[in-house]
Amino acid sequence: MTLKYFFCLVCSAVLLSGCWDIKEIEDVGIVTGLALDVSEEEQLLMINQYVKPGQIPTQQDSSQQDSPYQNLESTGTTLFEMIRENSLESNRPPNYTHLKSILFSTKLLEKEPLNQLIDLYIRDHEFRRTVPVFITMDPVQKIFNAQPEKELFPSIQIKELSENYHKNNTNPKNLTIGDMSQYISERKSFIIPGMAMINGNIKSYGAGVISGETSQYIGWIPLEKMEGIRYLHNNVEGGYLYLSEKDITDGPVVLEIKGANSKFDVSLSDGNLSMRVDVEVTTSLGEDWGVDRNVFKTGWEKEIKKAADKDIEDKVDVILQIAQKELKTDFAHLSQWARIHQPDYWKKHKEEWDEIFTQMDIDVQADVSIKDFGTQNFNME
Amino acid sequence: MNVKEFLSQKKNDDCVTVKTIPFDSHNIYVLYMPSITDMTKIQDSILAPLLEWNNPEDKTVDHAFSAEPLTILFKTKDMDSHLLNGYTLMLENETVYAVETCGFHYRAVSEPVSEMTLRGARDGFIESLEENIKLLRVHLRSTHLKFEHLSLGLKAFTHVTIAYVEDEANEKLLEEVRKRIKAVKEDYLPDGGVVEQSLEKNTFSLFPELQETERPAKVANALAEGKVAIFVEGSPSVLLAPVTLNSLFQTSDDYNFKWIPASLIRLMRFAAAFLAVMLPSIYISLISFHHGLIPTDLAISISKTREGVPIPSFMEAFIMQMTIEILREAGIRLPKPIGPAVSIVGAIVIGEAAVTAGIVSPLMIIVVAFAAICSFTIVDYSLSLALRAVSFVMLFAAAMLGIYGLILAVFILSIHLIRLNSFTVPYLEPFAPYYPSRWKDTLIRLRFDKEGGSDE
Repeated sequence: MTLKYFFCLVCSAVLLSGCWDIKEIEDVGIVTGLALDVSEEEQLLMINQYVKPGQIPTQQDSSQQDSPYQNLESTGTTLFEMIRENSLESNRPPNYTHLKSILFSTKLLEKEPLNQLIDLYIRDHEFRRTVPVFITMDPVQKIFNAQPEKELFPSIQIKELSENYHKNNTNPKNLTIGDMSQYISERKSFIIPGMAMINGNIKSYGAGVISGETSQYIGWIPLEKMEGIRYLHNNVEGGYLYLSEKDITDGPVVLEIKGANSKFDVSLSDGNLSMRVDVEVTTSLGEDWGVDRNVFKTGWEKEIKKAADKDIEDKVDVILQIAQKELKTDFAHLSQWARIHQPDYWKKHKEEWDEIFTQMDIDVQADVSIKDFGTQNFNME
Repeated sequence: MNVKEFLSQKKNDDCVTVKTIPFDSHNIYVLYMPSITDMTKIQDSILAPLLEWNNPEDKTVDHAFSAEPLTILFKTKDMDSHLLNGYTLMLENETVYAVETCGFHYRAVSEPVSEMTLRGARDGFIESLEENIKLLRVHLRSTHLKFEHLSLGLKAFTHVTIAYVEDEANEKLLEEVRKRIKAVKEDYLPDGGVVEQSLEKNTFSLFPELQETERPAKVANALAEGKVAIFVEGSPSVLLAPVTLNSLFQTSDDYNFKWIPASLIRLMRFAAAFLAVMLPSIYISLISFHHGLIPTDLAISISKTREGVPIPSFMEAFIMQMTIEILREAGIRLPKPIGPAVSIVGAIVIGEAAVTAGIVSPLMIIVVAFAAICSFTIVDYSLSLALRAVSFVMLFAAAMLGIYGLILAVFILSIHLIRLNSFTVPYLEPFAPYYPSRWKDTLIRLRFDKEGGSDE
C-alpha cells in the first residue's frame, strides 16, 4: 500500500513538474554588455550586446568571420519595457547573468539621475551586484561597435582594461553596481571609471564625477589629472612615478611603485576642520636616463626622493583642487576620516559636509622611499 | 536403511564402482565414483594396502591404513554426499569408512583478473573449497583462525565455510551470519554471487551488503580486522561481511605503498567516484538551468558547440551514457580476440562520427567519457555497478529540476545510505554514526604507528 502511494507521489512529482524552468544554453541570448544613452528623440536608448556563439572563432577554423556580437538598440521610457522590446528582434531571450559591463553616457547622466536608472539592476536578481559600471563622453554606440583586437567583445574589453588598475595609476579601480547603489543610498559623491574611443581603440580615459546630492553627472576628471585620486582612495598598488629633467638635474627617471599607504588625520581647532594626508610610497628605481648617477654612493637618492615627494603632493593637490574648487563635492570620500576622527563634530555638521569640505584646509605630505635600484648599474667606478 | 541395503542399491548404480575384496573371513566392499576420483590414489593407497595386508592378529580395515585419515560414517545421507565429493567408501561388516580420494579437476592458482594490484600477493582463489582454505592458511597461519562448515539451502547442495579469527570477530556478527545462512530457503545456489544475494537483507538497495573478493591476502586482512569470510564450494569468490562504504574504496595497494602517496591516490579515488556519479548530471543542470554559474567564456563556447544539436541536452547525455554502458557490456561478453574491436568501433562511432554529424556536442562527449573513466577507478565491481545506476537517477533528477533536483536526489541517497546496515553494521560507519577516532583509515590512510629501532 505504501509502495503504491510512493509510486503515485513519484509519478505526480515527475509528471506535474515536467522539466521545470528548463532552458537550454543555446536558446539563451547571452548579453555581455549593456549601454544606456539618450536617443535622438530625447528618449532613453538602450544597447544590449548579444553574443553570437556561432561566430566565435575556433582553433581549427580561424578564417575571418562576422563580428561575434550583435548590438540590439531599443528606445523607450522605461528599461524593462526596452528589454522586452528586444524579443521583437531577437529569437533568444536575453540572459543577464553573464553581464560584464554597464556603460552610461555623460549626456544621459546629465539628464536623468542615476538612482532611477539603476533601479532595475539592483531590483532584479538576474543582474549581479558585481557588474562594473563605466561612463563615456562619446555616444555609447561608438564604443559598443568597436572591434577590439585581443578580446572579442567591446563590453568585455572595457571591463578587462579597468583590471589593470595596479599597473597604471591613471586607471581607476572598478566600480561595481553594488558599490554604486551603496554610495547613492549614502548620498555620497563618487567617480565612475571613464572610457573613450581614441583612434579606433577603446581606452580608459579619466573618470566621471557623480554628485551625491542629485545623483547626476557633474564633471569629468581628465586622464592626466587622475593619479591623485588613487592616493586619496588609498588603493595604490602599483604604477610608476615619472620625474622629468625639469624636476631633477640628471633625468629623466622613472620610479616603479611597489606599495603605498595613505594616512589621514583630521583635527579640529576653533571650529575649523583641517586635514593632514600622509602618503607613504615605496618605490624602486625603474628606469634611469642619468647614466652618471652612482647608486653605490650613499645619499644618491636624496634628490630623486625630494622630486618624487613633490610630484605626488602636486598630483594630490590637483585632484583636491578639482574636488574643492571646481566641482565642490567630496568624491574622494574624505568624509569618512572626518567621521572617524571627529565623530562629535561630524554628528552635528554632516548635513553641510559639502560646504565644509570646500573650505577645509588639506595638507598633503608625501614620503617616497627608494628601496632598490635594480640588478645592474652602468656606472661601476 | 542399513549398510546392506545401501550396498545393494549402489551395486545397481552405474556411476558407482563396487569392488569386493576378500579379507580374512569377510569381504570388504570398496565403493567409489570413477568419474570424480583419483584412480592412482585408490590403487596405491587403498587397494594395494588392503590386498597386501596380512597381519593375522589385527584384521580390521582401520589398521590397514597408517597415513590416510579415516572417517567413520553412520548415516546413509553422509555416505551419499561423501561419494559425491569424491571419497572412497569401504564397507566392512556394518562399519563404513571414508577416505579422501578426490579427483576433481580444478584450474591452477592464478592471479584474479577482476582485481588488479601492483604490489603484494598475486594468488587467487579457485573453485575448490579445500584449496581455498589452504590458500587462506598461507596468508594467515594462526591457531585463532577458525572454520565452521555449514551447508546452505533446503537440500544442502551448497557447502559453505565461514572463517573468522577468534577474539577478533564480534560474536553478535557471527551469530547473525550463522542465522542468515540457516535461513536460506532456496534449493540450489550455484555461485558466490547467488549466495551473496540470498544472505542480503536490503534486497531493494543498489549497494552490496557483502564484499566479494578473489584474493586470499585480502580475506586474511579482513579476517584480522574482525570480519567474517564466507567460502562457497565451487566458487572462487569469497564473501566478506560486514561491509561499509569506506571499506569498498580500499585496496591492498593503499597499504603496500608509503602513506602520503597512497592517501593522495585514495582521495583521488573518492573524488573520481563522486565525479563518476555526478559529473554528467551537474553538466546537464548547469547548461539547461543555471547558465549563470558557468564562467562566461565557457558558457559562450558551450553555447557554440551545442548550436545545431537537434536533441535536448538531457537526451544527449542519456544516449551517450547508454552507449557507453552498451560498449562496456559488449566488451565483457565478446571473446578476448575480438574485444579490442569494440573500443575501436566505440571510439570512432562516438568520438568522431557523432560529433562530425552534429548529433552530439563534443563537450558532452568529454563529460560522459570522463565520467566513464572515473568509474573505472572504483575498486569494487558491485559498487561500480551501483554507482552507475545511481548516476542515471542523478541524470533524471538534474534534467527534471536542475541543481535543486540534484540536491534532492543526493538527500534521498544519503538517507538511504545512512539507514542501510550490513550485518548490523551501519553502512557509513565511521562517518555516520560519527566516530572520528576511527578516521585514520578512511579518506586518507595515516601512517602505521611504530616504536623501537634507532633514530637516525
